[in-house]
Amino acid sequence: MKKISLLSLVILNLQAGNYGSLLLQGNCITCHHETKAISAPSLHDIRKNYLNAYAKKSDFIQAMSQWVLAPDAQTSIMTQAVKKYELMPQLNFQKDVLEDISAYIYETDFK
Amino acid sequence: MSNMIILALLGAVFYYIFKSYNKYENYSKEAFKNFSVSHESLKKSELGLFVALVAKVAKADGRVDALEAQLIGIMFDDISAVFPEPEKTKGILKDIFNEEKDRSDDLEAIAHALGEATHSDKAKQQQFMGFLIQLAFIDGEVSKEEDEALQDIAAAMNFNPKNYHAIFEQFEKMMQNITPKANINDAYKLLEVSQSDDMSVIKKAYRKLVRQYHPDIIKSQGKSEAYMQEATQKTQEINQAYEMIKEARKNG
Repeated sequence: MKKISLLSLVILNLQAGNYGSLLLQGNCITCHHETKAISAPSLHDIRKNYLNAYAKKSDFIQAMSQWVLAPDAQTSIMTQAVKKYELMPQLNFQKDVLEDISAYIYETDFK
Repeated sequence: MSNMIILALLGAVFYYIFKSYNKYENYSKEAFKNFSVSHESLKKSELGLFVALVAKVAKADGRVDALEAQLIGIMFDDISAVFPEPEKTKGILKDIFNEEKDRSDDLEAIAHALGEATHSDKAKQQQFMGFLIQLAFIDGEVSKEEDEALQDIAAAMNFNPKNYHAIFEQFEKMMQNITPKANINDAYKLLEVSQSDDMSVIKKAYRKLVRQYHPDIIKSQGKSEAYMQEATQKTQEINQAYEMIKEARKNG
């Protein structure tokens, strides 16, 4: 029984991985490359900065999704990047979609 | 007597052809048991070509929305389950999707290749086209870019324009016939949850139902043409109920 529930947990996680990575690949990658900074900071960089500021997963997700929902230079934790690349435009994503993407970024080690 | 033997042999040959054809038709594990899974081999296979086209239609309007991402994620699971080494297959399908989503230069070549690979099986072509069209409809309405991508694909696949328009119009009609749930209680009922449930519980129930009723390209084989529309309609209803509950809770 334990084995089954563990297995279903693993499967659920894998499925969540499909979904998060599709949202990220479909909506973010055009500007945010996984490791290289091109027209915007890389995901690797963003994740590092957010992990420094918000070690707890729920805080990380809340902070990142809230900021992307309404980008603001005043509340940015990456002021250097805002200066260098300008402020991220507001993209009208739903909050829960941003939370799912943030959760995926938290979980993913971009190398 | 010798006639009988020839007849029996002929019968056996036909039976064998019919059986192996049938197997392949239905995308069973059996049909792919000798398939050697690699990026190259998958990309050239019908299902690999199809995934590339799915990527182009999904990204045509510039973004991949939540329901699209969910359905495509489930599609990866459905397709990879018929191949040996499902996990490896899924990883490669994701790579194909990511490579192809931002490219429009090879859309015609890929659609043409899929048309060639399936030209003897019109029913299969119909299901592929139906899946691509439902994907464009699933986020509410078909954008101009999605429409153009679909038409280019149909033309390059050599898909009968009359059939294309017939499928398209059926989806249009079906979408118009979906009436949003009149009240929130019906929305909760549809998702099989209660008002007092936590949002995370509702989200889980919603995801589970989408997985249960989603348009499945593997299962669609051998089913009637209406299958894609019915599955899309059900998925759309589930999604609308979920959106309604989300909206109500945001304001409440």
